[in-house]
Amino acid sequence: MIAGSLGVSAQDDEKPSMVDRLLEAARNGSPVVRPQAANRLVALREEAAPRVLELLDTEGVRLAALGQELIEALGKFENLELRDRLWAAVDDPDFPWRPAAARGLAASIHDDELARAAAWCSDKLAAVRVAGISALDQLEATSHAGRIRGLLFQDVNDVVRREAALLFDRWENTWALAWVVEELDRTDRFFDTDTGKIARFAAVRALEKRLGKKLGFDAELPATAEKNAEARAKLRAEVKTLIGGRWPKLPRVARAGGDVPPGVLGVEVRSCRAGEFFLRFSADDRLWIGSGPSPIVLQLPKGSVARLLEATTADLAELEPATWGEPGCDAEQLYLRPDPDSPAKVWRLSKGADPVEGLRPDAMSKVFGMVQRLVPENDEGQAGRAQLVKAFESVGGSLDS
Amino acid sequence: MRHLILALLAALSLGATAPLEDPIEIEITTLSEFDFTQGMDLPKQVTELDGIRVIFEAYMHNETKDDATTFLVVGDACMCSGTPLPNHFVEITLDSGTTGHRPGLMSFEGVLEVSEELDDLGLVKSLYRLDGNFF
Repeated sequence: MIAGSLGVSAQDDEKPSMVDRLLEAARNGSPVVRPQAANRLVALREEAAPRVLELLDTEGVRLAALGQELIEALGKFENLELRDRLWAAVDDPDFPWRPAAARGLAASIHDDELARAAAWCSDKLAAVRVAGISALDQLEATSHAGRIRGLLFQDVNDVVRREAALLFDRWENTWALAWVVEELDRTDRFFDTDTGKIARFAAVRALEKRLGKKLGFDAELPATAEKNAEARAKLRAEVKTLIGGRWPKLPRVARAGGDVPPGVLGVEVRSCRAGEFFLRFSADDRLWIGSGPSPIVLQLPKGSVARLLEATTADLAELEPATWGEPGCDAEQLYLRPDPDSPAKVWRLSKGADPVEGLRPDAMSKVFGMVQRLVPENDEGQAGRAQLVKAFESVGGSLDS
Repeated sequence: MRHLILALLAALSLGATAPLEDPIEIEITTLSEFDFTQGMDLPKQVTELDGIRVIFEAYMHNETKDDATTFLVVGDACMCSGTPLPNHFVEITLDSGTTGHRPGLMSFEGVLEVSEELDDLGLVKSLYRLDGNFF
């Protein structure tokens, strides 16, 4: 409890001050309340900033222990001492809430921080790259258009590409809107996650805001649904006119409608330090790398996936689907769905900043060990074997069991 | 009318409670797909679900503790897309039993309550509450 840990407050009052109560709510409240409390503190920042510094310096509370909601809000406190600490946090590859720190800084980015913020566009974490786009947007840093263009054409993450497209449009490259319109056609999934639908919703929201009107497109349904056909056609025609009558050729990574079969086994690794990896194996001996509409696809030797499935099923026979560890920005998930008509079985572990000994059950380590051996050693997109193994090691520890 | 009376008599004679209505299948995105601000007039597609038995798919929030009778569910397992708003959560109270965190997509069924519930700081504690169960 913050009030308790601080002892008697500055006002020597037995009742905790509003700032202390909000700090407690922002750190230890429910996930619903924490962002609201953190935002309230921004309004009280002149009083709140010294209290936060007191927590960090006098009480020995680590910055990471403030939690991602409060860390993000600290960027809006306009306190140079706190700002320095946020920068140090973003620069620390082991800091667990780097995206939150970057988002907070980006929301009130300073002119002299441009170069450092621009470097976020090359970060391993997609959420930090998005913060980089936001920072360049805030600073109207059109001299960095090349970076944004690179993200637009090459980034493997759809949120990064969408934000890059919207910024490019704001910088009078309206043709980039075609990237966002394309997302209405997405129908991709990553196991139980309807990534295509999530993208449709985001695209509709962005386009409605951009065009200042309702589109009449129901994002719950695919673009091919009868209900959406007219809205889709009208929108494409309108945007085509807006961008001068020529529809740009989209890079493969941004194209919707890739024919991705449902996976029978999948792995999702989100490492604060080593980046994010999405792998799925399909029954036809192909490995799909990435979670978006057009993953990288690799043909594996015949029988590879059947052998992987058989060994995995045996290894996991005694391990019920479950969750291990504490919430944090490091997570591993193993999906198993041999029957495409059934929901996937999911085994998950997650952790915060500190290494946790023995977090990953041996059976999962064995499966991940087999998985990484099927990933090519060369750097294929983001998911070469070396990077993947590094990500595994930084989350659940070594794969040797 | 005759059928209704007979059905009521049959139910009374068996000591049965009224049968549960069929749940309406909804998408959790219906609840989350607007920019919530405290005190706002909620969209019609949300208010018309107040008091209705619904069923939807969602993920348990990863902070769900062991032996929980009340927990939060969300539409996006990783919550990776920035700061969530109160309308991105549904607070589930189990009819019976307890649970710990379970990974993966699950179905939640029960009567949905839609209104701002505030804590003692005046922050929105919950916007959607569902008494029911999951499978």
